[in-house]
Amino acid sequence: MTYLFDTAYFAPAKIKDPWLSGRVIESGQTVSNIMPVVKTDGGGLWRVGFSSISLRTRERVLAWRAWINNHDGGAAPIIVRFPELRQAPTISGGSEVDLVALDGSLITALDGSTISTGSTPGVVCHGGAALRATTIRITVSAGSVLLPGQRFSALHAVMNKRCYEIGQVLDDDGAGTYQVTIRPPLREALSDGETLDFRDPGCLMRAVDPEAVAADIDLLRFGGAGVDFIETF
Amino acid sequence: MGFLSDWSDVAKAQLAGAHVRAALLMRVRTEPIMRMWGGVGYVEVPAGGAETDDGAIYSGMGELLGLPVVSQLLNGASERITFSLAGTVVTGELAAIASTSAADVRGAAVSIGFFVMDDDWQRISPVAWPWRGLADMVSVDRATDQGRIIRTISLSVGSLFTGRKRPDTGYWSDPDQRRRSPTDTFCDRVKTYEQGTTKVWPE
Repeated sequence: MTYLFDTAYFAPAKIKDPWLSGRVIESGQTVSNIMPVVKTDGGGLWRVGFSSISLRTRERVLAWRAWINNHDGGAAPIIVRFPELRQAPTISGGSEVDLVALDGSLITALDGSTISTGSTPGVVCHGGAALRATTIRITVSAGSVLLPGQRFSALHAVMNKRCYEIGQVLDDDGAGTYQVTIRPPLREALSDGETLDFRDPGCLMRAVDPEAVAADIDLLRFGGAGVDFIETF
Repeated sequence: MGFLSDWSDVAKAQLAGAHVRAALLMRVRTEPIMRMWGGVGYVEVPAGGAETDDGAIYSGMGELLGLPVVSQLLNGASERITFSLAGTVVTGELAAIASTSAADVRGAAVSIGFFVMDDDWQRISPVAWPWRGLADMVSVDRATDQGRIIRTISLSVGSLFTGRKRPDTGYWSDPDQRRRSPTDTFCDRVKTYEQGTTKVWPE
């Protein structure tokens, strides 16, 4: 069972906007004043940081402990919701769809209830896309246009939930199908008609330092916490 | 003919440019074959060179901690390099390396390859396999870093001319020379020498 780090529940918090981190090899500055770089990470992986999370109520303190417990010291990967509410496109129609884990069980929230999240059935991958593709077609049945910088998730069969970000909108056929570039490259192939989640994107991640996620509690009642996550495989 | 001979001019220009997107591959011919790359996620690699299966999937799930520097070996030179693999990623292949079946790894062909990708992270060159060696010793290392345990598997790989025995010409004692050439008395006075001995001539 895959558990969820509910970003919305712990809002407001200071969030370092998710970014793609990678590995670059530099050789230093050459005689011609050029600094060659070699990027070997194949596109990078997601990182996100949360700080100044206020745990001012009993429920929030308990919820903070619960997700740490479910994360099992970093042994259990966790799905982190990315904060995209304001940046997401407006998608009409669709319905709330339960987020299903790989074993078929429903992904539970911190309090044990099931999480229902919109997978935006009105947004699908058009024509499929191969593993590591960076250009895909997305069909939006009814809603606003897609813009560069917007993020979406795909729930892959093997790689679980992975997030991608639109880099450019190359083409718009005027009927709701957009050809876009994405980063990182697809972790797994997409089939034609596979639904994409713009409303509630997220990614399978783990805490960068599971030892540093415990909350600081003052007066035995109030506290604050922070955590950094990195995409996991 | 160099290993880049079948690369297009575009691919060569990408490799020679200031911003290179490269994929580093490592293939160990165990059973089953271990295929790892330095990037993230999976990547398909075409057949050719050291890779025999078209569309082989290389895994970049954090197994490969780094590729050591390799050298071009000339005139029978040899070298031994060590790969560090993540000891926490227990795939079937890595488990075989770290377990008592490490003897199955010894002698397995190890190939290092690379290819370049364009600005869209799509492969634009065939895979070049510039270095090949034979797997030798496996060791499991355990270190602590600020209270955390870091476990790695080290795979020592030798080039084709690497051997464990001392070179035949390593010793110039009489028994060694007699072993090479039974009637040769060239070294029969070596045992009378000591370090710093001055041999006066004529006697």
